[in-house]
Amino acid sequence: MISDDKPLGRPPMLQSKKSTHSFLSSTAGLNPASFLGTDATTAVTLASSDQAEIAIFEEGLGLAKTTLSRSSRSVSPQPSFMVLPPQLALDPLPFVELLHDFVNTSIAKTDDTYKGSKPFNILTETEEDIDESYLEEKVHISKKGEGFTAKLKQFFILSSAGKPIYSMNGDDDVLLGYSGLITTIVASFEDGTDLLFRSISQNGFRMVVMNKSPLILVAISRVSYELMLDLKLLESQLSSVYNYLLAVLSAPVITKSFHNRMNYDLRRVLSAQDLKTLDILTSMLTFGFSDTTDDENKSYTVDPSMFISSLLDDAVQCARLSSTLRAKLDDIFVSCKRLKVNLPQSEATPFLQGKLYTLETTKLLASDLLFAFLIYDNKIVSHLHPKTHCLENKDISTLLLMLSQLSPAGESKNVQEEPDLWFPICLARFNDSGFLHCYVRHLHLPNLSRPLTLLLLSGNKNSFFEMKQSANYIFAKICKSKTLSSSLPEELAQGYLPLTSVLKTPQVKHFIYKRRKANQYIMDPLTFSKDTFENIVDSMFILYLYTALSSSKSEEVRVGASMKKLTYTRWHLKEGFTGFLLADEKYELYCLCKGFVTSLVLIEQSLRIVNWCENYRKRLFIGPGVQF
Amino acid sequence: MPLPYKVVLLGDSSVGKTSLVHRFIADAFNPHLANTIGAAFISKDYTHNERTVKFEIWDTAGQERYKSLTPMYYRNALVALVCFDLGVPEASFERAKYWIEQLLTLGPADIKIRVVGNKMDLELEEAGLLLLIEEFCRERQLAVLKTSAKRGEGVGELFDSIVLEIPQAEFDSYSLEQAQEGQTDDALLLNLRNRRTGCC
Repeated sequence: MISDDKPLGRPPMLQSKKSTHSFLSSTAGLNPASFLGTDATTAVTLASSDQAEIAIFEEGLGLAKTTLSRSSRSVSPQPSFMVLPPQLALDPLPFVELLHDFVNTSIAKTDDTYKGSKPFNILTETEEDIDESYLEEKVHISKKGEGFTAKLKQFFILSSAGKPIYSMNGDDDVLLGYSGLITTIVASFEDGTDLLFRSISQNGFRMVVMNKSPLILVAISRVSYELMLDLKLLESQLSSVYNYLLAVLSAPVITKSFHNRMNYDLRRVLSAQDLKTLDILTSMLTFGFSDTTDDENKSYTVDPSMFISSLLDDAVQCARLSSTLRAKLDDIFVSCKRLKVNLPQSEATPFLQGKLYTLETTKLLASDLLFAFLIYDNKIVSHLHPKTHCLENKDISTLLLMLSQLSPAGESKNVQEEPDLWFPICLARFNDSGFLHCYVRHLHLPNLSRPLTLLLLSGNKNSFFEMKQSANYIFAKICKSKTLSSSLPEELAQGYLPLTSVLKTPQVKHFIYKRRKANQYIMDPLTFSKDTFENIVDSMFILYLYTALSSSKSEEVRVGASMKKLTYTRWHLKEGFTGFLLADEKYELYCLCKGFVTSLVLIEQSLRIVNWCENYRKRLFIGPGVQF
Repeated sequence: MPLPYKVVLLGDSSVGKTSLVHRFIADAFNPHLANTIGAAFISKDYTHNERTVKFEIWDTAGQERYKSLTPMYYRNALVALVCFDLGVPEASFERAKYWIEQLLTLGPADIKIRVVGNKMDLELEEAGLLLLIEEFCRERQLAVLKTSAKRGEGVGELFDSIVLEIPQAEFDSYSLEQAQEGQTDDALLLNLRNRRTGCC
C-alpha cells in the first residue's frame, strides 16, 4: 500500500547561463522570474497524494482494474493511445488509466509558485554561476598542486603503503599528505575489525574506498548529481578504474610487483598513455566529457554515454541495425569459426603432398578465436562468443575504452596504410590473472564517416596471423555481400537520426530505453553542436536530469502480473523540464520533456516509445550475441 | 606476390619506432601518435633498384611491460631495427643494448641487426656518447644509421639498404616456389579474393 512521503525538496534553481543544447534551449523569452519555483526538483509520487487510495485487484485474464476512492479523478483512456495497432499495446487499458491518475496526482502536488530569482548550479546545487573559469577551477583535470582542493571530484589510486600511483588532480607534493591520511583512515578502521571501509558521507561530500590490496582506490565527490544516488555509482566508477589497471597489468603482475617491496612504485610499469587514459576515464565517468587537448589545440570530447552506462548498471549501447543485416553479420562470424585451411607445408607431411593426405593437413583457421566484436562508434554491431562463456558488460566497456585509446582511427583513409593491431588485454571479470590477445582492424566503408572496427580476441598469443586471415575473410565477406556493402553503411548512418522524430513524440525530447535481461540500452542520439563550453554544460545537464530522475522515489504499482515502477518529476530549471520513468521487469524507460507536459501527451508518447522499442527490440539490441 | 620480408622494430618507448614506420608507409609525420599498445603489424610492397619486396613490419611497443611478448615478434624476423633516441642517447641506448644482446644470444641466427638512431633533428652537440655507441656496435659488427622520422631523413635510405642487401638467390628461389605452388591452397585463395574486392 501507500505510505506518506514528502516531495524531495531541492534548493531553488535557475540556470542563468545562456541556453545550451538544442533541446535544453529555450525558444520562449528567457525571463528568469517566470521559470522559477520553490522546489526546483519536485519529485512527487502517487504516495504523496494523501487521499488517493488505489486498490487493484486482478481479474480473470490477468487484467487489472483500478478503482479510485476519489471520484473526481476518473480519467478515461485517451483516444490518442488507441490509434496504436492493438497488437502493439503492451498493457491493458487499466494501466493507461492508472498512469493518468498517477501523473495527475503528481502534477496536482507540484507547487509551481515563484519564490525567488537565483541562478542554479547543477554541479553543486548552489547559486554559483557556471562559466568557463568555474569549470577551469572546479572541474577540469589539473595536475598542479595549487587549486587541488577546489576540485569537485577526485580519484586516487594508492598503494596500501600510501604511495600515490594515480590521481585525477594535484601533484605528488599535495598528494603525499592526503594519501597518508587515507591509508591511515582505512587501515585503522579495518584493523581489528572484520569490516571493510566503504565510505564517508557528509553534507555534500562523499568518499568511497575500494580496498584491493595491495592497491587502494578512492573516489571523492562533491558533485551534486553523484550524491543523489547511493554508493553504487561511485563504486562502479572505481571498479571501472580498477578494471583498466587490470586490463593492462593483470592481477598477478600487480601483486607480484608489491610482493618484494611494499613501497614499489607501480608507475614504473604504467605508461604516460595509461595515465592519460585514466584521466579520460575519470573525467568521462564523472562529467561526461574529457580533455583531448594536445600541444596546439584545446579540444574536448563530449559524450555522456559512459556516465549513463554506469547509471544503468553498466548497460552497454548497441548500434541500431535491421535484424536481417545483423543476422548476416552473425553468420559471417560463425562461418569464420568453421573455416578450414591447409596447414603450411612445413607443418604438414613434408614428403607426401598427394591428394590423399590433404584432408589430414587442414585445421580450423580460427580455432583460438574466443570472442569477436564488430564495433561502430563505440556501439556493438555484432558479437560472437562461445556457448560456455560470456563477457560481462564491465569487460566490454574496458575493451571499448582500450579501443578508443589506440592510435586515432580513420586518421588515414588509405587502408593500405593502417596497421593491424595486436595487444594483450586482461579482462578482469573473465579472468583477472591471464591475458587474452586482441586483434584490431578498421574497415572503411564508403559513405560512412567512421570506420567499422573488428575485434578478435584470441586465447593464444601466437595466433596473430590466423586472426589476420580471419579478419581478411570477414571483411571480404562483408564487402562481397551486396546487401551488406550497400545497406550496412546506410543503416549505421541512420543511427544518428533522432528517434524522437522517427517516433513522432515531439514532447519527449530525449529518452533512454534499457532492456534489463541483456543489460543493453539505446538512447536517442545526442548531438552537441555548439561551442565547447556550452556542449560540456549541456552534457552535464543531461547527466543531472537523468540522475535526478532515476534517484527520485518511484512508485510501484501492480498491473496484471507485473510490477510497474513509475516516477514523475518536474524541474524548475530554465524553461522547466519534466522527467518520466516507467519500468517493469523487462525494460526501463527514461524520458525527458521540455516544459511541463500534460499527462495525456506524456503517457501517450512514452507508451508509444515502449511499444516501438519492444516491437523492434531485435533491431535495437543484440542480446547475448551469436554463439558458436 | 613479391618476396615477403619480415622486419621488426625494437627499442625503448618514445624513441620514434611508430613514427619511423609511419614515415616509411605514408611518408608523413604525426607528432601526436599514441603509444603503441602491444604491437602493430603493417605490410607494404616496396620497390628499389628494380627489386620488389613485401615488407612485413612488426612495430613493437617499447613499454617495459610488453618485454616478455617481444620474442614472438622477432622470432621469424629477417631484419631487426633496434632504435634509440639521438636526443637522449644515454637513456634510450640502454634498452637498445638490451635488445642487441638478446638478439645476438636468443634471436634467430641469421637475423640482421641494424642500430637506428632516430630524432636526428634533436641530436645533441657533443659527440662523445655517440662515439661510445658506435664503438659498441662496431665490436659486434653492426651498422649505426641516423634517421629523422620528423624531417623524413634517412628513412628511405634505411629500407633501400635492406632491399639491396637481400641476396639475389632469395628472389630467385622465391619466384620458383611461387610458380610451383598449387592454386588449391585455401589461404591463398582467400587472399586472392580479398585483393580482388580491393577493400582490405
